[in-house]
Amino acid sequence: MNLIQSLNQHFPTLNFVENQSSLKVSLNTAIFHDVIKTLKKDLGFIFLLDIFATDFLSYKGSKTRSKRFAVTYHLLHLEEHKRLVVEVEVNEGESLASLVDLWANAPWPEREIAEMYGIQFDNHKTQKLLTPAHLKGFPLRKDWENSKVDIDQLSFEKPQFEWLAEIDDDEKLCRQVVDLNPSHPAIQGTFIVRAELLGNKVKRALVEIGMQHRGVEKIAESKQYGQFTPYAERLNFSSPMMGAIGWAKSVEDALDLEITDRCQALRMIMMELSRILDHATCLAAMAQDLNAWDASAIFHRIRKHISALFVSYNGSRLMGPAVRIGGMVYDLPIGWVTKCLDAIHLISNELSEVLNLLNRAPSWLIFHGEGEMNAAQAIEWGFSGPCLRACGVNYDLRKNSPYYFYQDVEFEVPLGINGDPYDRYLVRAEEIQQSIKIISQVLDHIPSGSIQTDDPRLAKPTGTLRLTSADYAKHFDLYQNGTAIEAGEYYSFIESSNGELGFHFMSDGSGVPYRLRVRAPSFYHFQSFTSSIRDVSLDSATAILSSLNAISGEIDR
Amino acid sequence: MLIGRALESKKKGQGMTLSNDLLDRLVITTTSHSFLDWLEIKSRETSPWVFPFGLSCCSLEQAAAFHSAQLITDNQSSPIRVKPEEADIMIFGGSVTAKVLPILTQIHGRLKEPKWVMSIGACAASGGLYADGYSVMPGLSQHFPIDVYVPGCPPSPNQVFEGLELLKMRMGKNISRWLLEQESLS
Repeated sequence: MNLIQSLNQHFPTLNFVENQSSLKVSLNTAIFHDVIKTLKKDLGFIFLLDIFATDFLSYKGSKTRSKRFAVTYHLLHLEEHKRLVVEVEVNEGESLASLVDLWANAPWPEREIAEMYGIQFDNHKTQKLLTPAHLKGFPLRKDWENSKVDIDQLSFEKPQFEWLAEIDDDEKLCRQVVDLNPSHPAIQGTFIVRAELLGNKVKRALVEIGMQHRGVEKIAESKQYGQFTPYAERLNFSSPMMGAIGWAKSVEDALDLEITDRCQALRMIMMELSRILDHATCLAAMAQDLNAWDASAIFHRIRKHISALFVSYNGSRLMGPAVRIGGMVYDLPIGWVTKCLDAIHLISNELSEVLNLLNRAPSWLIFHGEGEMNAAQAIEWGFSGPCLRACGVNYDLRKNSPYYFYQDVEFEVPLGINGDPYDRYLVRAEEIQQSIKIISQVLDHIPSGSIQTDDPRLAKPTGTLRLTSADYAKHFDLYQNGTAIEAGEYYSFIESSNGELGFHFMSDGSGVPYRLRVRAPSFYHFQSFTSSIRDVSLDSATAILSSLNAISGEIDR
Repeated sequence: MLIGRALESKKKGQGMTLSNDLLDRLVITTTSHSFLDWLEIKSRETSPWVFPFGLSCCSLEQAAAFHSAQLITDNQSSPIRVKPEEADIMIFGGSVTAKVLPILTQIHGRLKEPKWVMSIGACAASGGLYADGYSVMPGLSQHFPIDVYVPGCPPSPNQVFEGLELLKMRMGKNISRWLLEQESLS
């Protein structure tokens, strides 16, 4: 019996609509909590991918709606690799039942919805998460207007610990509060962590995020699909090309467009290089926490090799205009393949050198047995990517829902056991080696041909020497209005270096997205931080922080 | 008091002279006060202490710049982690949101006087890509004086070094926007 049959058997009154890779169902506010509970407990949808809301005030799509907002719950079946979109319509002033009793990762997205749309959730506190206190109104509503900020009003208050009744006065005197400063020691971004210590052990912790909240989802509503690519690049800035490719892929999937073979191969190379770049950054930060400065310098050298490759490919070290919807901007320059082969040879040499040093480093003993996480907890927190695989869950989107040529290349998915910083380190280090393996296989078989699609919806008219006036009109239309996407809801994902990076967007038939939601892995990873550093030493806390590879650009968006 | 001394030394044209004469080169005739001023300015120019405040994307290039061999091998390098109170320069790179701005101004207030500030990247200078959003604050110079802007999205480490050289030249002449503002205020 397949999944859809068992779903229909369980819920005979509900209508499950099946798309290419996902299912969709609309529920009302009264029953949705019970249905989601059954879906989790009995039907195997144990993974909560994302929760977000949409404001349908000015939606011109085909569907007529009775209520203004819709809250979307995105669930994942880990065995069947099926995604289920549950949509709940809400009106202004209505409140929803919270999912905090079902999943540990529900609080942050629900708080975000409350602050961005003003939809309240029962039975949990919904104070602001990302925006500063002085910001009035709900930014993602369609009728919101930004009021001018009075500079004198700007202030920041550190999060304060509440006094706990069970702590007596003697213990209260022993406890001290330590700020892990706003600028993270490994410079991966900005967030505030306050830890309350008893001796050397962290007893409680508070985090404050939103320091890098740049309002990307709001900006996207005024940008054409192609114009959003640089913003997608800057989400996870340690592996920029990954975000851009993820965004281009989701728009192409929405357009139902097949990109050329050569472009797919190029994208795979760029993605795997970005993965090495990202993992090297994370490992450099971890090595710093071990006080292994030499190892950290070697990881920075690995970054340098890849940056040099990017410079010779598109002229930019980190972020450059390389990805375009429907293809790539540049073809490989002459001699680049040789350069790349040289570089990955150097990288694998340097990597084995540093792994010899680091794998058996006695400094790991400091962290032994601290910050462990089992598979069930990791799924509860919505982990994905290397952090999930370090807990022993064999889930890699490159294997499970392969895209591009990932089913044709040989590579293995490294798994950890305990899910502690050491396992995350091992998984990341092994993934670098697997990425090298993928790159060398793709480099051997780069298909020939064009790197750009010639689909008339995206490509400007070329081929003839003389362009007709109709061509000019089309050209003008393409650049002025952008590529229109049929009204509807689209979701597409890639296995980014941190985990599942997904773009869920809604089109109303025009050239700009009506609503864009970025499913960023770090947002869910970092949410677990406060609970996973409870009762560990401060040294381990920083090691756990850097092993999560929390990138503030992704957390805050 | 430090402000007063720095201003004074700037007015007096650094207050001391070195003769070209071979004999005189070995002997410096000066008062201890102005010699200390001169020494402070000279040493600040050759080995400034930097407080890096990494915010977002640009912080990676900033880190790459500070990790590159140029800064680590030469003896002018600054310690990697310094307190704001000890630092001559604050370098911040990345987009400054309304939430992080109060922290940044607070840190600027804690810097050692006279304060030098370098901003890295388009976002810090003008809001960059995010200028039409609601969150990123463009025009930071109305909150505290900024000496050098390094443009780019993000700039390469070499550009960061170039900005640092420019800043060092200003430090050698003891010119900073902060000092000028203090002068105009008094």
